Amino acid sequence: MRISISSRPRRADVPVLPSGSGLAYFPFAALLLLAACSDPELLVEYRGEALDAVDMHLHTGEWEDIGPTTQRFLAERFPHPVGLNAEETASDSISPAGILKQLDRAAVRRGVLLAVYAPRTVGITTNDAVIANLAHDPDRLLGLASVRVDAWGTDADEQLAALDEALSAPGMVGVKLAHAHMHFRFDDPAYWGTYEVAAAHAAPVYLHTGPTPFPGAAEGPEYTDPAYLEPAIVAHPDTDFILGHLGFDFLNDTPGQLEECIRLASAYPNVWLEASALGSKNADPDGEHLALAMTRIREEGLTDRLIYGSDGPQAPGFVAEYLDRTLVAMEAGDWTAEQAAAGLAGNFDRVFGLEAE
Amino acid sequence: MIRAAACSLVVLLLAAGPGLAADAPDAASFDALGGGHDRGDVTLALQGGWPRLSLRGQVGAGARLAPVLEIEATPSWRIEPSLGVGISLLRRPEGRLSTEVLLGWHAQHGALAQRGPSAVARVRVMGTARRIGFWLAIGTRHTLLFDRTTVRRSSGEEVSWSARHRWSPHLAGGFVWAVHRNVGVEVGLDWTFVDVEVVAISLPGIHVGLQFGGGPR
Repeated sequence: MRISISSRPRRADVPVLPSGSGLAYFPFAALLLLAACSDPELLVEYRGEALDAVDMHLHTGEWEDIGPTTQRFLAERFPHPVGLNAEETASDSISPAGILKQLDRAAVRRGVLLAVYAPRTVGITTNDAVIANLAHDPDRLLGLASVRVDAWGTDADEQLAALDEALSAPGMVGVKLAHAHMHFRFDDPAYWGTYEVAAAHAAPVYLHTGPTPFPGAAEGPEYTDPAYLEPAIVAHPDTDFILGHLGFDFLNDTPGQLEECIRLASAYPNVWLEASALGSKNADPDGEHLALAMTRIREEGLTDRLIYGSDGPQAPGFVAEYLDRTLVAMEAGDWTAEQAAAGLAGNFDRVFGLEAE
Repeated sequence: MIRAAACSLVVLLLAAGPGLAADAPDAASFDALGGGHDRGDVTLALQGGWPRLSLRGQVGAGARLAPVLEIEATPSWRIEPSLGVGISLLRRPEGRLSTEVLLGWHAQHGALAQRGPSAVARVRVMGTARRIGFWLAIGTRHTLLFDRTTVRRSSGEEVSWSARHRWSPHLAGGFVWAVHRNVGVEVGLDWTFVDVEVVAISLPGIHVGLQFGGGPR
């Protein structure tokens, strides 16, 4: 059953004009103008409560930095004929201004932009590009840095130094990795230096888990099954690992490794869960996959481990739509308002050390 | 230029009465959109709108046959020229039924670049009442896209070809007004479900049309 929800921004109260006439109105008119010009209060409604939301999974970058097969994959997901001019559509959508517009529409307080180095699959969004884009609104945009691994055998030290530098930039609060897109195994210790650099910055590491639909990705379980990540989780207790997409199988649109992700989060205090993309209209038309995920997370007492993300901006309106679908799934999974507040923003603030803000 | 075109249309409208009998089963517009050309009848139909433009030329060849040349385009991105034949199945004062088969070429640019041969089959049905007609066309377009894969190894280069099939059914319809025996105007909707199961969703289109034609009556 779909519940009645609203993710529209709630605006600050506007002063009411008193009775009277003439210049007496002036101060009130000025107040009215100030109120109208001030930033709206961005909250979403869940079970009668107004909640704060942070979207930790947003993509930015340039269309031309995406590989041709992935460009085609993305263009086919736009409605025809919009997809024919995918470059213009995507460029508007993944610019900082476009992302902020989507955050406003979704009433999401803050968004996190991801750097990506996956030249064989989804393309490249450099750490520098993300850092530059954060400057459009440093109060609302944060970033996750990434690391280039395609010549790791010869330049690992150089890449780790670059990651260290990127994590020193204002607003860069974590690390994004996608083993399947970047073609390196979850259990290969040669890459674990990344987790050590992340821990030195108290920067959580977000990892794509589960089979991916992007052409050219490595789909073997050693790249997609989070069970292969367990040795790294055990070896790096000071590093927080965020299991992106809950191991969802985007090739077959099935829950994939959901139970493995839940097992890891139950077993280790440094494992967090993120449910982006798997509940989209394409992957989950009836909302059953996302509802199952929310139900299982609540049943296992892991509502304090979920961090909200959408995997937007994708198409116009996606960020708001995904938030709505998540709220519906939380309701279906019988989450309380307090648990939803944690999943939508509180857990994010906690793991990224932003609670004091 | 737009003003001149509008003036021309007004002149056509004013001149419509004497050029057309009150009952107009032979109007060129009806031939162009519903099929049923007499031998020697020629029609030209233009449609402009979003997202597609189209041009159709047809000539009656007798024996209920009418060869057709058709060009559909989404400007700057996609063009589909085709050549084929229309077959009139039924022609009555109250309506028409026809079918057509075309072979052509498909070219698309941008991130979804495609090119290859295509085949179209379509059925047209039209109801007419005096100068007004309602038409509906339902059709299917099948396109073959050929891919060349080149594998370069130290031992040499290997080239292989493969083909992908794309299916784009379509539905169109509209109201036509035979302003004159030789001229008509139309407004309608069209919906091409482009590359079913590949492209996520296709948006419907809208168009206005103009038809010209005549023959040795």
